[in-house]
Amino acid sequence: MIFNTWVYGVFLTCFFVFYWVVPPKGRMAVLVVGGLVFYTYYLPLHTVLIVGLILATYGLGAAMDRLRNQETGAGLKGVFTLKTVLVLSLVLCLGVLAYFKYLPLLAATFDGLILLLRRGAPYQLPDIVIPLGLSFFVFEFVHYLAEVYKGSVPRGSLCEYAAFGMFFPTLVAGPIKRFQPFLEQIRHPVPFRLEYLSEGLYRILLGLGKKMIIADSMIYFTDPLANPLNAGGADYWVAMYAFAIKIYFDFSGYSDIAIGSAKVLGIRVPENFDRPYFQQNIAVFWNKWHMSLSSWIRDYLYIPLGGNRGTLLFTLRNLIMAMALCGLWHGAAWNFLVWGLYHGLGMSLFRVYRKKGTALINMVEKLPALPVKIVSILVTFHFVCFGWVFFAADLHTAFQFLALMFSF
Amino acid sequence: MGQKTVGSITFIVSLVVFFFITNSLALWYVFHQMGYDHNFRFADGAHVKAEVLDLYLEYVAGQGGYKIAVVGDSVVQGAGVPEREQTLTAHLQEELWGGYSKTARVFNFGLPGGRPADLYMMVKELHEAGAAQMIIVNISYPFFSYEMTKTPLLYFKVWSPGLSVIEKEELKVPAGFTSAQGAEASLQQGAEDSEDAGDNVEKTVSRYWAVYRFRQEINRYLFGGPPAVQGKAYLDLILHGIVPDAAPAEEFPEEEPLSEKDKPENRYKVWTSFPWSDQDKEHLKNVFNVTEEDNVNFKYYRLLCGYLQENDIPALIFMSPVNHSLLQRYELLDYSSYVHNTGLIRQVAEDRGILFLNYQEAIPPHLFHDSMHMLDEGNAITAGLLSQELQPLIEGAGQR
Repeated sequence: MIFNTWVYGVFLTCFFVFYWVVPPKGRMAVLVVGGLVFYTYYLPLHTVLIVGLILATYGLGAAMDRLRNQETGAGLKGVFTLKTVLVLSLVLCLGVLAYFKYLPLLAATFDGLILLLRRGAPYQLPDIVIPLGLSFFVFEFVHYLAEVYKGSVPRGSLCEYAAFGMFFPTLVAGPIKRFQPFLEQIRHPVPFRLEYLSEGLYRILLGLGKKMIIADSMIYFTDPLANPLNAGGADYWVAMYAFAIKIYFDFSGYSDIAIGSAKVLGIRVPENFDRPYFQQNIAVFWNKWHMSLSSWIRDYLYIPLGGNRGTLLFTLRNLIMAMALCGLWHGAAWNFLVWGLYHGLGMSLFRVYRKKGTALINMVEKLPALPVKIVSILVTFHFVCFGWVFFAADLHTAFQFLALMFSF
Repeated sequence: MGQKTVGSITFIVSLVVFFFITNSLALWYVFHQMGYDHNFRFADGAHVKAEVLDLYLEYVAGQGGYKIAVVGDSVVQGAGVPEREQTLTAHLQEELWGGYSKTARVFNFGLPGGRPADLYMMVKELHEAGAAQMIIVNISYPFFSYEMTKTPLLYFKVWSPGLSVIEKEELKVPAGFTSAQGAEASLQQGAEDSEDAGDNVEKTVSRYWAVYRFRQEINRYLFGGPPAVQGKAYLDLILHGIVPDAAPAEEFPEEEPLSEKDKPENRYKVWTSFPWSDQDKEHLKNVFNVTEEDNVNFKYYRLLCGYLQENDIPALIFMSPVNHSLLQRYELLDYSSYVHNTGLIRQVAEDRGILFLNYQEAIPPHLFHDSMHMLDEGNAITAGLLSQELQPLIEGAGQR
């Protein structure tokens, strides 16, 4: 089910009524059933996958929980360590993600090499349909497993975990939730309040407006990104800005609908965007753009890689790696990897500037604050905009587009 | 009550009010832009589209007052006059408002080139939509000539989805169109079978929420098209000097008029002010050559009268005024057949209890543009005659 369709409107309306009519104790089960209906509508087979993943990850989480507990986990102790179970569970989650999302990329690359070297037979890939919202719910499961491993969240019951995993407002496009805040809300259901409806409706309408009025209108301007040779002059610049507008309003619109849909059910989910194009440097941009993903990358990628707990070079390596993976998360194509590396390099440069550019920083601080702020915002915005070219087009087209942009 | 609750109630009430206000505004705006509220008449030539007719019916059905729909061909549409205010229906409206009925509303349902089958379909549509309290049907003598049965029904595309195979055959709906329409219908059926609940919901919302239903029209009227497309065209103009393509000359390419009377310089002039070619005279002779032979147009005329009777629809039928001077000057009419056939036409209506008015000799020749189409004053006189006949009917219905 896609948000900006009538069927979702009907589904949400019916679910809203049903959810508030059911006694508070039953709402958790209603959320699970709602998620199942929502997901099954898209492709029933994939419901089996998500249900299987929920059961498996919950089971693995339970195993980790037992292993931490000396008495009840005694039977498991001799066979598995806590870390082994974590690795197993991560292999499971990331394996599913890799199979559905990245196998086609690897196969295509392999076939490209075969063709280049003129040796061997190309790999015949079966038709794979990527499950709706796969990247989002896998990241939520990884978060859950990592936190259970650390012992920082309660394991929760299977129903609670299923309600977390199958929560339909965030199932398709996030925001990527955290288990504990969600658990607290479903464990302590609130009575209906009119502001849930009004605030939720407001966010949903805002999101629909962003998506359908602004973002969808931009497609008339972005064609040069797909066919650069058919355009000329300022078309490239218009296309780049239009794409920047489109992607922000599209994604933040979707997030608004998700947040609003959760809100009408009296449930808060994380915000995802906070005026990202008005930030003064690329590091802050990433704190304001797709915030639930940025914080996930920070907590489960960047910090485990070592974060900034080492030399500057070590930090830069971690930054670039984390952003490269972040790029690949957005899509299984090499242009997304380049987009991630581009941002990783940008953040690294900014880090170097902050650490080693004291003289330059002092000089800038002596300049009038407002012009510096405006220039900083414009520089950051344009850095992001040029990056969108790699996001929007395959590598060959992206480089062609950039070359044509500057061929005055 | 808490501040948040008050705010929430205000917000939700505002949403509901916004919904209804925008809905009414959208309806009013689109109908206004289509010209429905200003002596609307269908476009010249056979250019009426099904959606225009549907919208017009919806508009008329939504209006108040005692509604009179005048159904006919180009005589009702007003092919002899340039302005809407000069049509028969506009004059009839003036007559009623200036006379005995302040609540009557007259609507023009004249289809240029229409025939009895079109009139029959139109009456059915009007009745099914519950759009009018009274229907006036205008019949023209040439309807019943053999000449008028030779070519396909002009509005077959408008009525086609509802026509049976037999009807399509006897109304000469082009075979290619029949098969294409059939394919389209089967495709449509297939699509309906497979369409999901979302499409049905969309259709339902579209039916009740005018803003959504008319989004394309509203964009077109307000911005000349979808704003983003217009923005792109503007940018192209600024950046590359590319002038947007002119609106497609579209659908209705104007054909070179074959007849003197249809040439732009003669279009709304009295018939004596331009020459009548042999071709024009031959054409008139053919269309006024009504024989006793029963034909498809007569059949649909009988069906029309039967439908009015069976459904107990308050109605009257009047025969279009004829320019006898023109017909006599060039000896285009066989008067013995004319009298006989007029009697037959009258009889069909009167046998079904429908008031029949023969205005074929009611208008002096200098008030005609051609053999049938009247100039402004001719329409006014006909409207005056109709108004007199309508008085007992309207007053009988309690509408003053």
